[in-house]
Amino acid sequence: MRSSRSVVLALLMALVGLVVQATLFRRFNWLTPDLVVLVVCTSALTLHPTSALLVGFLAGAMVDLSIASSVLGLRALVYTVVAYLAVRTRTRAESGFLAAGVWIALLTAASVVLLLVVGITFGQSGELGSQIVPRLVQVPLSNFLIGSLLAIPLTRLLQPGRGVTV
Amino acid sequence: MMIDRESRRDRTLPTFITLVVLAFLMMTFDVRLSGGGLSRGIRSGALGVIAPLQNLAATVIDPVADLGDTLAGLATLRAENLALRQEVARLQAELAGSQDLMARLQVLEELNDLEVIDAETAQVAANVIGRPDPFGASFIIDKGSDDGVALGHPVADPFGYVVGKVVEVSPSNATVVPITQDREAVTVLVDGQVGTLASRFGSDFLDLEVFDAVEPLQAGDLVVTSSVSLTFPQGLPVGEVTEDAGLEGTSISTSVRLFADPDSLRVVVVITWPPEPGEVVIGTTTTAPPASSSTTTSAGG
Repeated sequence: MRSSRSVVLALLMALVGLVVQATLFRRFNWLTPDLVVLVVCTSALTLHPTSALLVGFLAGAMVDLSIASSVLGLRALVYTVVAYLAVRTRTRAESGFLAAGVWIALLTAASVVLLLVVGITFGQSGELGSQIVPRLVQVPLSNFLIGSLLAIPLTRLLQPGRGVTV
Repeated sequence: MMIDRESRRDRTLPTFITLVVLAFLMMTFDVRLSGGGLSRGIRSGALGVIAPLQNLAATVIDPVADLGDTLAGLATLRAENLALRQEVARLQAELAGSQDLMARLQVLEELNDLEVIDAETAQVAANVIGRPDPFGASFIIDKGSDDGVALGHPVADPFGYVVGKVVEVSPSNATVVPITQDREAVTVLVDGQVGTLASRFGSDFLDLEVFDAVEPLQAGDLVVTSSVSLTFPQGLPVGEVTEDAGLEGTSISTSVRLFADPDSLRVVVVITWPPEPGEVVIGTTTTAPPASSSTTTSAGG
């Protein structure tokens, strides 16, 4: 019961992240985070592994649905893989906010590369946009900055009683 | 308790594999259905949920961000204000001249019993309220089917330069994909020759191919939409040729720079074209019938 509530809360956070990313961060060309990946990584720190995978899949499907030009399932796949990698490596993020930021940045970089590879395989090269090359660097860096600041508050928001410290 | 935890942990890999397979199946079905069928209905519903949230967020964020931009540019505001006053005076003089011409035109139309199609009614101005994807340039606008926007409608920037087309519509919002990301090529006219303009991976430039070329192209040649285009009305400026290109047999390949900048747009104009859903008017008529002056055909993208 508590687990499903946490999954719903994580998905709500992903939705908020998606909206903020689409409205606030569209104004900045230099700060282009992928906030949904951030939420997926945070979920892997606090939720049960299978719940974290579910959050990755559903959050990805939500992003797919919000982007009309994207093939349905592309980001669901990418974020599920990110969630799996995050679950397997989450102990690396537990030595402080800076480590969490680096961990999130590396997972974000993995997500960007995977998105590029799978996207091209499924004929989405045009839809990935003309900014894909600079974004390969900008998105992980942006997630490093924001992840370092928000990872701890987000984990506490997701599961206040669990006591997972980042 | 430990055993229970262990057994739950063991389900991680099977769950992961199941979800990955499910995602692949979704992608395969979506690609095979070309984004149509059930997925279009689901997307439209999702847009109906997400777009109002983005609209709300944009309503809160945009004024604050605009205020920040204004404060940052306060030093230049006085000079800009003076230049704008001069511009207003010049435009008012032009407007007075235009009104005189319009009055004369109206008299001539009445004399010749002509009915002119009002181009203004075929345009819907819309605000860009969100860009959900940090990688792509597709964006959401605050006008939808309730405002007359329909699937496939062309979109231009405030200067009339081609931006892209509507790919998803809900009652109050729509999603626009720029031609720099569109899988479909656009039929264009450059230097009197018909060509196709296709997006190029990882670039702001577009690839122009002219297959029945008769003369070379030069840098700066204007590229406009062609009358044989099924997705755009003819004559809309798209961009310019970036480099000289000679004939290779009977074809020419070169690149084109788009006039519009889809990444920085705040306002766009949706052109409600073709006028009748499912029909494309081919021809250059600017007046209503005679019926023989135009032909109609089914829209095909």
